[in-house]
Amino acid sequence: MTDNKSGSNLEKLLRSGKFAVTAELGPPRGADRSVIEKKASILKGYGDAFNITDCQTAVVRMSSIAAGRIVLDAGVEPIIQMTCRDRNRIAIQSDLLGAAALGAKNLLCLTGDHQKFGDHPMAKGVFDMDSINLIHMVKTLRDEKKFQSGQELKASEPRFFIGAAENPFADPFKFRAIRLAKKITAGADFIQTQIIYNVPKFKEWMKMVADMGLHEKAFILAGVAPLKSAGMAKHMKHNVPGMDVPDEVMNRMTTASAAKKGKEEGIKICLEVIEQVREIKGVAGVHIMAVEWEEAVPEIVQQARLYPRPAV
Amino acid sequence: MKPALHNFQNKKRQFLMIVAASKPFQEIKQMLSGFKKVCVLGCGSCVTICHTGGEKQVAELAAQIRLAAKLEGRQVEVLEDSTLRQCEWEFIDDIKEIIKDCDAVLSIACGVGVQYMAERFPRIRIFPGVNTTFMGGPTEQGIFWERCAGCGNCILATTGGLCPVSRCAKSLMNGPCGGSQNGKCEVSQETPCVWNQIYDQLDTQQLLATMETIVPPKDWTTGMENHPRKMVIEHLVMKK
Amino acid sequence: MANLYTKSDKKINEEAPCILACPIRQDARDYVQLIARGRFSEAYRLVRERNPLPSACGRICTHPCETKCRRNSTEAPIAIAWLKRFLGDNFSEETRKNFTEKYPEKIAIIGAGPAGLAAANDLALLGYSCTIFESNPTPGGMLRMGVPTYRLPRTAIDNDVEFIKKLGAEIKYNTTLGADITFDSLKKEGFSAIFISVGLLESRTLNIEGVNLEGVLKGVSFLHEVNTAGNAKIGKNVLVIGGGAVAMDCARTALRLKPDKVSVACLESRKEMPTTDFEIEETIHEGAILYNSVGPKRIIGKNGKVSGLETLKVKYVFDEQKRFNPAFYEGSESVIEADTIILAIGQASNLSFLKGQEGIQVTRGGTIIVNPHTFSTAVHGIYAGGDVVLGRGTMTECMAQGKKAAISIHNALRNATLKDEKWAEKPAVPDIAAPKIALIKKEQKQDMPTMPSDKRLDNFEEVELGFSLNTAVKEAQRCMNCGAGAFVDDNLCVGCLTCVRICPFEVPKIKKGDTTAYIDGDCQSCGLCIVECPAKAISFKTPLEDRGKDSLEAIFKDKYIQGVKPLIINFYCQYSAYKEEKERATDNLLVFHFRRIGVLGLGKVDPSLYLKAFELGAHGLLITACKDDECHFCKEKEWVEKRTKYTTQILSGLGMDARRFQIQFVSSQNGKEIIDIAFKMVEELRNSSI
Ligand SMILES: Cc1cc2nc3c(=O)[nH]c(=O)nc-3n(C[C@H](O)[C@H](O)[C@H](O)COP(=O)(O)OP(=O)(O)OC[C@H]3O[C@@H](n4cnc5c(N)ncnc54)[C@H](O)[C@@H]3O)c2cc1C
Ligand code: SF4
Ligand code: SF4
Ligand code: SF4
Ligand code: SF4
Repeated sequence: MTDNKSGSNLEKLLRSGKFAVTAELGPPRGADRSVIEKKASILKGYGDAFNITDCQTAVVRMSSIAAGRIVLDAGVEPIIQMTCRDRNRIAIQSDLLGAAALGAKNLLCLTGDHQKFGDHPMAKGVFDMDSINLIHMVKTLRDEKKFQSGQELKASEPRFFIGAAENPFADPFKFRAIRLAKKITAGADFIQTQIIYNVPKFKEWMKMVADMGLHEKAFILAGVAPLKSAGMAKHMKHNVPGMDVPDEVMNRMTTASAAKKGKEEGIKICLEVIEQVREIKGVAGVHIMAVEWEEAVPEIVQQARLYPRPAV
Repeated sequence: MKPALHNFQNKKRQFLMIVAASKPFQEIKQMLSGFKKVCVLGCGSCVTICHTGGEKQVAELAAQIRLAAKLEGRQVEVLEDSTLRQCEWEFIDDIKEIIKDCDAVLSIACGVGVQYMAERFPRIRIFPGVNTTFMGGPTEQGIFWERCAGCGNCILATTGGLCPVSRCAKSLMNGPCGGSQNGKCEVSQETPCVWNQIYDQLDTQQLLATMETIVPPKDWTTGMENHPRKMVIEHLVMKK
Repeated sequence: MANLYTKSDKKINEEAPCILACPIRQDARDYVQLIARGRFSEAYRLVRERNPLPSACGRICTHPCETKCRRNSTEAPIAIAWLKRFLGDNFSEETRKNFTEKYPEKIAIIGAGPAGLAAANDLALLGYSCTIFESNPTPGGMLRMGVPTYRLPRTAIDNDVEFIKKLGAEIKYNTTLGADITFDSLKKEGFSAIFISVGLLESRTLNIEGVNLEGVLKGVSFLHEVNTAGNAKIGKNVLVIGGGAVAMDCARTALRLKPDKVSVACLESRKEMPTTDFEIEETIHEGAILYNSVGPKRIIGKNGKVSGLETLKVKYVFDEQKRFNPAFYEGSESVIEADTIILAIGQASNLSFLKGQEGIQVTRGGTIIVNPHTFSTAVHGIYAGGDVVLGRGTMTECMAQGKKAAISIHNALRNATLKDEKWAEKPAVPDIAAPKIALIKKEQKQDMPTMPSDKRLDNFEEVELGFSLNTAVKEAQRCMNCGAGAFVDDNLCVGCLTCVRICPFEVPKIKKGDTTAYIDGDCQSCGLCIVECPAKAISFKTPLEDRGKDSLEAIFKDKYIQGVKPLIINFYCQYSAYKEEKERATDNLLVFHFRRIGVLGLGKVDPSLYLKAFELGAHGLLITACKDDECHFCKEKEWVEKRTKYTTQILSGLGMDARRFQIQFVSSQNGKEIIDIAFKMVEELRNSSI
């Protein structure tokens, strides 16, 4: 895991063995670039790269590639998210060529949330391929200079630091590490996990991952997120697919929310999770998903003693 | 010795491939408004089996149409008939006499049948009475599930015989996705996660290793996005 | 109703065992089913179609139908005979008014017993004029001479005989063949065929010491005397010898003459006795003492009069070959005291009229030999049937022979090949499959009301009082309509398995190798599958079940319906809904706005029919279904709920006022509740702009 494939800051940092911090930066539901710029200015310096989501939960938002460029302009490194929901392989490759040309270096490959959850449930979901196919397609473009069809890419190729997501809390549990292996084999360089509230279960998963030696083949960033309130915890537990919120966390949030101290408690829990996961073998960093609550990120990063970010 | 199989020789065969759902009656009423003589035409095959296009449904729809007209003080004559299969020229030719002075036919066959009718009887307005929905079957009385998407390139051999194309919400080739929990699909608590089922199936068959290999993106050349598709069985084609 | 054409299934052509068990193939199931639907007159006419003596038959028939009734498996058979009596008592009417003589030949019948009357009835219907010659001054044969009146009041014979006479049969009383007329005189009078049905009028006697003592009576003569003259000379201590039905009749008749003691002595053990338990129990119940397993050794007398019977203990009655061959324990003598002994050990014929007709063959036992199919004797033109052929049969067996002989006489005279399809051999619907018994609701058999036992012995009045309307309907509704339930039309079935999956009794099957469903005799006729079959491939074999359709159409054919507003149609479940008083009350109060359609189980009703009712012009529909635990089929409520909900959705989709379609689960026993609901609905609809 030495040669740098993309030239991205995140890649450099991870390869140098430093504990990485990434966070989420959601593009706006509008054409106003200042919103992104504002978010970028809040987050700048509190992470090594920032995920620009691709119409998250299938709600129409500014293109992740366009938003990524704006973020880049603001002096922050983006991780472009790309899903298979809205584009077929032609569109995806086309967009990736564009993204690379615009300076994007990190790419997170996802299957994407089902359109049913979004603001256009009547839309036709594309799903021409899945995330693993997407990872492999990006790797082939980069390393073999070949399009998905097998045709050669005669001009310069897009060079991405390829990311993938994995949910340690989904079923079948035993298959989750294997599926991670598939993603790594397909070409994933780094992994961002689903939000962790159930640390013991995450540990169990990481043990399987480490036993398979996967942590040596890709950088694993543990996903964390501050809860805002008991209501949000409940929503996460029951409505967000693949989320595991243990009762203990629920109880703490309920008590805190009742005392109007939900946010504080949420951040506290988040910090505890970070403390615990950074001790786990194979965890190379954290990925903070403070959805529509970017202000929380600097506080968390500071309190977790992850500030300032090292330069590479 | 030959294993004990159902011996269908000389016996009538039945079909269920296509599942169709009844259209909302309001929509049907609107389509038929203004017509004075209408024939509700059922089909004796797939849609009979899924309870939306058989003789019983014909009678029920006809009764609804008549009653609707009565309530609005309109006059409408409603004929009721059915064909063995509306997707055969020969069978639909039989009903020519019946529908010849109808203003409209409400076909409650699948979309195939409706089109056969439209092509055969260009002068008569043919309306669809059902929404042709999927290929599947009843998993229990009154409940039908999709089972095949007609992708034209069947991969069941590698998936434990369970189809991710039609049964996985995202048609994943390398599932299950991170939304699979307790055997249910992230899209709906009522939908089983087929990839979870495939996992269990392959586990039973001691073929879990199959799940470790990366399945490349599916070749959709034969798939639904490349319609209209056509099938030719050379030796059966008759010279013109 | 001339004949019921019950459809038959290509795959299984089974007939209800009750029908097959009946010697005359009475349409037991179908008249029971008609009673279950409150269609009494039709039921009577159906019975009368095959049975010339319904009232008598409904009382004294040994009802083999009930022995075979499939309800035996669930709790007790349907009271088929009692239901027939109910019809005869309450709904009897002349079914055909005019005799039309179609053929010139005249037929002579000797003896007005069941066999002769049945032959006369059927020959008259065929179009022959026939004359019955009867020694007695009254009709009925042994039914009148032998059967006691407390079991069979004579009006129950006379009314039916009147109907037979009205069909065209003539009866010449006080005319004895061999004395007043001869075969030759009959021929001279122009009779083309003669049917001999003279029965067995003599009693068998015992070949033991003392039978000629004063006080020894013959059973049949004794009964005849009591039945015609109203009394007979008996002492204070009566002993009846014999263990059959006639013995029981003798004992019970004797009891009514008020001696000090009546006892019965027979060879058989209690279990072996050749009569029904019911008869034995009634006899004991009325006060007779029963001595089983004793054989008569000699009759002891004093001064030429009977004083008792010396008996021996019986070792066995039947030998190893199961032949009647009683053996006794030596030295087991004991004496039963009695001053009157009645011999009821069998009957014999009196064939003295056969002198000069040597061509007619007779068995050693004194019965006439006939061809078992044609009932013709060896002499051309002379037929015989009934007890005189059977050598002690039952009234239905005798009627059956009379009926068969009638057809055979017709065929011989016309050189025809007329056949009564009902006699065709068919397999019986098998007993209910064991696992299904638990699925079928137990329905208590209705009791026959009887005269209190302390009142019985004072008179010769009928002991069994007959069913009321309610009881009869309730009893009839227990019937499972065997062999006439649902069946699948192979040409229509698409093998969708719906019926297979939904039948509460797990009856329909698609057998291995088949592609269509088939429904066997365990069908309970709930009709659920008929409604749900998407191919409309299932229907009832019985023509009695219209699932509400014909009834609905009939309502709208009534011209008085026009001005009624609101007009409400009430579909109700007939199971246990027949309450004559309440029913009438309900009808009277609501007669103007309400029309009622009763169905045996609302699970038979297709939602399309509800739509149809509105289409035809109903302003409102009220569905009154049984509450859960009252459902005869156990599970229909769920279906009624689902279907009415579905109908409600359709109707609201059509913009119909929800008040126009109402569903109520009420106890059908509760007429008042239904009336309240109905009144409310009338008010609601009256005040709305429908
Ligand atoms: C006491 C008793 C109780 C019975 N109880 C039952 C019962 O509960 N259920 C049941 O099913 N069966 C019962 N039976 C039997 C049943 O009554 C007979 O089987 C049946 O009546 C026989 O009918 P049949 O027409 O053959 O003859 P019968 O009924 O015996 O009629 C023969 C008729 O022919 C007349 N006759 C005889 N000779 C001449 C002649 N030479 N010229 C003109 N007329 C003549 C007789 O007067 C008589 O009317 C009982 C019989 C008896 C004796
Ligand atoms: S893989 Fe294709 S052909 Fe096979 S079941 Fe699925 S959709 Fe149908
Ligand atoms: S249940 Fe009814 S049809 Fe069946 S054997 Fe008994 S009486 Fe006959
Ligand atoms: S419900 Fe009808 S079509 Fe379906 S199997 Fe039964 S009889 Fe056949
Ligand atoms: S009528 Fe009822 S009992 Fe008979 S087969 Fe159909 S569902 Fe079963």
